[in-house]
Amino acid sequence: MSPRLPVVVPLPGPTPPNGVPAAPESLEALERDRERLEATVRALRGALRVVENVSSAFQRERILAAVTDALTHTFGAAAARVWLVGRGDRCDTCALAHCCNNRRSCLHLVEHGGLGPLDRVLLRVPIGDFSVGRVAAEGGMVTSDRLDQEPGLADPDWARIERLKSFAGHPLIHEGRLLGVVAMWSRDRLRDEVLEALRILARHSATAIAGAQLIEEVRQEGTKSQAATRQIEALVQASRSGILLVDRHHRVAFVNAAFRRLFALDDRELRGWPIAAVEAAAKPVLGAGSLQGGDRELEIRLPGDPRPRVLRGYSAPVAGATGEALGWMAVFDDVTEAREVDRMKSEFISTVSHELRTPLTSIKASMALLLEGQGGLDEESTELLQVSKRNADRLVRLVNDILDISKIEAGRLELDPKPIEVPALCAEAVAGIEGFAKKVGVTVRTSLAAGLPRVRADQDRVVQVLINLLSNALKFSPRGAAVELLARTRGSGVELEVRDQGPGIPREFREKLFTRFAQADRARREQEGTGLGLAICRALVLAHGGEIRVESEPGHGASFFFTLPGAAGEP
Amino acid sequence: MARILVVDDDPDIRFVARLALKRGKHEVAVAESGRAALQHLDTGAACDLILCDWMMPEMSGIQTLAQVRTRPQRAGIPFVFLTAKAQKEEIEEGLRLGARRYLTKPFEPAELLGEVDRILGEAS
Repeated sequence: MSPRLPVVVPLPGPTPPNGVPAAPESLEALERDRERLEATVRALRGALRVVENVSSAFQRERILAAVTDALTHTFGAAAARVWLVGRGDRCDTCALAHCCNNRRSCLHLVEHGGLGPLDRVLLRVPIGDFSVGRVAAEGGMVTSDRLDQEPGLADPDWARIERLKSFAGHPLIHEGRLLGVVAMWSRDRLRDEVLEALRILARHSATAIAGAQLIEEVRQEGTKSQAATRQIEALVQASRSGILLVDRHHRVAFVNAAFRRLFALDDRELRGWPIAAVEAAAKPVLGAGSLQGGDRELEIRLPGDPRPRVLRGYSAPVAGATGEALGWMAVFDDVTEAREVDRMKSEFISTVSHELRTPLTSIKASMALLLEGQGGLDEESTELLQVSKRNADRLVRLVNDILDISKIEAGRLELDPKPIEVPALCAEAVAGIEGFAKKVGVTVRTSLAAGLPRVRADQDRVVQVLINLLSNALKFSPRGAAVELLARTRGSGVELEVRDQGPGIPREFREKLFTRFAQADRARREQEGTGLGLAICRALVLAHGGEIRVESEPGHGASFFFTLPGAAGEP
Repeated sequence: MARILVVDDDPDIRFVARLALKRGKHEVAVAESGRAALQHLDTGAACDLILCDWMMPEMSGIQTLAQVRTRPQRAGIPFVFLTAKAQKEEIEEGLRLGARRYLTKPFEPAELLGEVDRILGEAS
């Protein structure tokens, strides 16, 4: 624990306190005093000049050295020292961290002139402790003229051996912020003009130190941001995506190696080029394409490569911190392989599904012919045939659904949207499901609001969605129940609803309902679904620009809603 | 009763199609390729309707259709695709090339028969 030093005498201000020197007894004495004061003023001016000059060089160490030099050489200090407050908690970097119990802010010794040695305690002083710490805590000058009588000196031995008599410390304060403490020790009593000089030096050097610290911080920020810029640049250079940055004067600010490679511009330094010149240089590769544009695919032809390559590119404006336009950037990815894989995948699926259809045709037709034939089949054989036929039918549906979903996923779903009347749409769907409804003993009721607008849709695909939703509703309805098909105006379009009185859908399952092979209850597999129906419905509705959702209260049925955009103003 | 030519490289399809049509009291000839179909027609055999697969080795259904059209005596025979190619654009292409109907596999025998009778009704 640090001993406290209570016996210090703060000086209230520049006016001389009691016990000022006695009036000079003679003209000679007066003349000596005048000369001394003049010398002091000259010295102070010199020191301030140094402080101000040095402050323009923004070097903290030189400012502080000028201060301690002035105090020791001109103002008769035996020792002069400056401590600064670390910004924030500097305990982690403090040389005394290992033996320090004090976690308050400390003053750290940064400059000294005159007497040594520098013992450890003085290297670092907790604010509030010892004379120096009190200067910082009180924010005003602290002086003492009787050091030999101070009971709680930090190092009384030092003061005694060096015959130090007086102490004065002044805080370094800039714009209300404590920067540190400047202190001096003297073997003589400290005269008023010396204290005044200390005050002036402290004020000026505080300003100079604050300036130097600010410059240092800015410089460090600059170094840090330079390092960050270099790191980001290294990352961007290493990216496999071609990256281009264009400034607001339409000149290249940056390109990475991948960009050069993609556009066969390897040997050019593109920085500073007008973007039009880059496009001209890339013309043999880029063709009529442009480097700037939304998310799109570009076909490029690299020299010596007979196959065109597919680039996916997009550009976006680049804005500064306050939203001001800085230019734009573009990113290009070579997706040739990915597209080839996509193409092969959908070709494979298409081939497989065609190949599956042929044997399924023979199986289905054979069983149908057997069942429809006049051959004497017993009941069990008929039943077995029916099982086989039902499952062959299911396989056919699965093949169709897989083909649909693979087309959707490959982005090759092509719609043929036309203005269509909703009642016709609903009638076609209901007609398509009638047979199944009769079989399961459920009625389908259609209820359409009056004055429905026409919708813009691909009739076959919307009928497919409706049939899918209706057949789901039928499957989950108890015999004798009803399934409702409703339509109402929603904005400029139409909302269709398929409502059933089935068991409903558990809450936790509703979210994944529209994903592939999602069926609430595996045991319900005998319900003949393929697990792809709702995923296809969702993709088809989204492709129309509509939305699909479900509402359900377990035990009280389910309602599937989807919207279709209106065909307002179309013939 | 009509005379129908079924062209398909799959023997099982030929068999079931023939059986289904025979149940409808039609007379059925089968060919395992486009070439065999043309040979059959070139013998002068009577034919009221051609049911033809699309994907066949050597000569596709479309090529077969084009060849049939080059024969003045045969050009008017209703040509119907019966194929596993069931995508919308394929169906449209088949009809654009001059097929009377485009039926997709798999088919229900009763439906096939119904379609065939409808086409023959239109033709007469």
